Amino acid sequence: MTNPAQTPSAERIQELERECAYLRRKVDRLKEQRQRQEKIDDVNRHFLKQTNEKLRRFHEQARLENLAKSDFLANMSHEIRTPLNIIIGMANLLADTPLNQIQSQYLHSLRITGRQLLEILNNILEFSRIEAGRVEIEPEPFSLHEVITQIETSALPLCLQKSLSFSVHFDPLLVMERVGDQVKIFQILLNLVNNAVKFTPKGTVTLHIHEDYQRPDHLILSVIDSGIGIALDKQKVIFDRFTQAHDSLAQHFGGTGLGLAISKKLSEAMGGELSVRSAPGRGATFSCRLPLPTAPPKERYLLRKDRSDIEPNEFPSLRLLVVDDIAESINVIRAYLKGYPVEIEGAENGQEALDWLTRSSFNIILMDVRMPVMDGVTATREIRRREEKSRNEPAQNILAITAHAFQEQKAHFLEAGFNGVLTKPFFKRELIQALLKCHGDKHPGKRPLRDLGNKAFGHCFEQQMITEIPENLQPLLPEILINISKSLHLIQELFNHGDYLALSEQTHALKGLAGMYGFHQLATLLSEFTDSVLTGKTPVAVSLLKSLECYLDRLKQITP
Amino acid sequence: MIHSAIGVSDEIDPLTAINQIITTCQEQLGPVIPQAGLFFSSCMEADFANLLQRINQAFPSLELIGCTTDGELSRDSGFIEDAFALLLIAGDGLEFASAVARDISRQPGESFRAAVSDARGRLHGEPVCALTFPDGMTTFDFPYDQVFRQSFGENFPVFGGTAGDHWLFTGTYQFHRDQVYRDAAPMLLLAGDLQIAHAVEAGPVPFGPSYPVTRHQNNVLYEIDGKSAIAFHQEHFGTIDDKTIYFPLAAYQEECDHFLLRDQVGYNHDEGSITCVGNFPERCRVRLTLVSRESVLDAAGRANQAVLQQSGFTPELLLLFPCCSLRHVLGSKTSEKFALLKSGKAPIAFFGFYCYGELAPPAAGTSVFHSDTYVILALASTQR
Repeated sequence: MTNPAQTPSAERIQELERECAYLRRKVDRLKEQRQRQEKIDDVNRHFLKQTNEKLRRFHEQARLENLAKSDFLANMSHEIRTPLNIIIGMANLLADTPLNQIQSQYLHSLRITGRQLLEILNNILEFSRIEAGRVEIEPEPFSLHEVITQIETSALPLCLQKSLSFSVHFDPLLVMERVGDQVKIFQILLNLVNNAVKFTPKGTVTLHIHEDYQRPDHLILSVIDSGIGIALDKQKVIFDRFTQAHDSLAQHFGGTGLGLAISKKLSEAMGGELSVRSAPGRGATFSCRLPLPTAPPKERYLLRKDRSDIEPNEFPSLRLLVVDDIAESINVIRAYLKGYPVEIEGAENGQEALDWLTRSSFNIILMDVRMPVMDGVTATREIRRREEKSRNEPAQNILAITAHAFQEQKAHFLEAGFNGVLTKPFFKRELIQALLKCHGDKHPGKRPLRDLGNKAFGHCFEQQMITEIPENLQPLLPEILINISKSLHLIQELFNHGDYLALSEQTHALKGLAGMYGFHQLATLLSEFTDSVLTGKTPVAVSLLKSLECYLDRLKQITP
Repeated sequence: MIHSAIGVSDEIDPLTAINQIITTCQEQLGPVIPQAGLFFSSCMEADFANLLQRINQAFPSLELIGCTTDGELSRDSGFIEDAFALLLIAGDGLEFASAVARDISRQPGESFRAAVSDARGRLHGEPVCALTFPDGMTTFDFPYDQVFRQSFGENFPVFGGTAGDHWLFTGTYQFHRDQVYRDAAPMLLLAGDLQIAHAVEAGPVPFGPSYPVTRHQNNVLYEIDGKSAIAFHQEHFGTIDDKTIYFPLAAYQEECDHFLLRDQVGYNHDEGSITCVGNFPERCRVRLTLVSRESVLDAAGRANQAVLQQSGFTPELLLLFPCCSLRHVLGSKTSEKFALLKSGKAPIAFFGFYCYGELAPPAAGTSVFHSDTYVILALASTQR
């Protein structure tokens, strides 16, 4: 039964009905609003999807256009490099002929300008590649000596022109055989050195290489100049592309303004960094920190062999076939190899090379890539196909000679069957090394360590080839290393206590031990250290002591 | 000084609502006798003639105009729908005269000229501006700028918005005194010691390339960028339905940065044409627009700021005529548009309605028809 007291009045019912109607209306409006919002969201989603699709298309189009640009640059590279190779090569050959003073001056200008043109061309090409994200780092064992020599060769003429002093400093204990991308490192250093020379009216330019003691396997390669310096605000922009710190000077000195931008990008691509410290009027120090681990012992041996100058009497007798449609290119190679025990035949294209191979044999074929009738890649593929067919014949050595400087193109050539790639323009030394490497790859030699006798200890230790120590000497190793270690500790203590007399005696004794067992670097360090101490050059002595400490650390690492 | 009273109610019973509103207004006015009134409602089922009669009984000889809407707004209620809203105004040294233009879709020029002439004839001084609320359903191709120029004169400021029907699209009503009309434009002329300032800001933001309108007539687009308007629409929106009404086209006159927004409301597949609300200028280009809550709030914020801080006087009353699409986009954030108007130390009364199209001069000059904009008009007496 319903309680009459709880029955709502008619008025109350009406009121409740009104409230319900009011709320129903509100709910309806909320539903309408939600539906409207969904419609708006639908269109916005469609726009977003459409815009993303457009972006994707534009991105793809930009990518393809960038590829086209890179291809264009690659072609331009080839077209410009081939004649430039001939110009520089002929100019180099001309320099070896008798010339009067005026002719020498003209030739000097020609060679300098040729190099500058090559540098500009390389910079533009390299930056285009970096921009296109096509930088490939190829770490390989290389010799820092080689890089230094290349830098010296490039920088010295420029420095001489401006009466600047150029020098290279590196820790004598530094292992020079490292793993890294030699070409890119050279490129970075060359850009930095060129930059230093450009903005140094007088004084010095120094390349300084040392280990980064805070990071194992890292080197710091610094180019220090006594030039006009860079203001702090400009230091932030000099690594931007097409930017130079001194606009007015840049006009005077020329250049693309890409050198530092390229160097920074390359440093970063190799996992390193490039920084600058400078002040106006106080010179600049550009420091490139790169991860460059030491090369394995076997590679270091081969690199050292590479580094030594190869005289004609040390060069193997070779029969070469040079395939190039441009006769001058063949002439440059003939001239470079003049005096070497090399017999050279020439062919104008791939087909002629194939014809030569049917009637004669060669140790190495130097094959240009772009040629009429049959290009070098097709010819090489055909040679490899024939070799596969007649399995008994040894594989023919074929070196690609090309103006295609890009890494992916080199990879393409190797894939096509070439044994190596020689990039135009190349110099005599590079040609000799390439031939020797190509020929020697099949017959790797090894210098007998036994010939060194006791000195093999120090030689192997300082070159980090500890496992190469001849077996008959190995039992003596622990004792020798412990003696050196103890002696170095003692020298440190004597120096710290200022007991220079005892120090002199101790270093003399250790120097004798080092000499006896072939620790050449240690002996040199000890001599310089003793001289510094005795002549009162304390800061130098402190620096050398640090090097000795470093030597000691390395000793501890391998001492059993 | 301008005296104003505002009453708003969304009571479910219209008579109860109007009684509440009248009482509220009488309390606010005290002894002041109102000269003019604006009455808006989005409650489409109401007996408007009865309601208008009640207002006229309470405030005899009131110059009252109004219309049905897509929602009302005021300082106290913010945005409100299914409601009734009344603004009453009086002012020392102010004059008001109302009139109505009828059959405006059939005889736009004549009807407006007659109404303006009627209202002007009852004013002692020159009008400062006019308010009008034409039918928003029968006037998609109404030549507003031409009619305003001919009836009010060159560069005369006309403000207001077109009447809505709470998004039902069945028909709107316009009010004048105690009469209810369709296809009409009630108007109120304001004269005397009055100063005004206004701002118009668009909610949607044009994006992407502009496309030439290669064939159109008034408000009907036939060809855009050399293809049928339907094909163009399909290509860019991916669909042809009522969803896209919230995404107007921005129409740019040749070599001009200023644009007018035009909503697409009808699709003729046989002709390949699209009917829009509002006419297109000759030799114009169109761009698509992006619509977001942020851009709508930004637009309202810019307009409010312009009127409050750059008008050179302190407004006593603000009239707001935002497009209904703005509230549809904003949803629950609708009332955020008025944050700045409420933030001042001295409370400024504001009142308005959500319309199907807005009327105001772009910056200066003759008033034109807008869509998807936020129009704000500031009023103040010069006698204070």
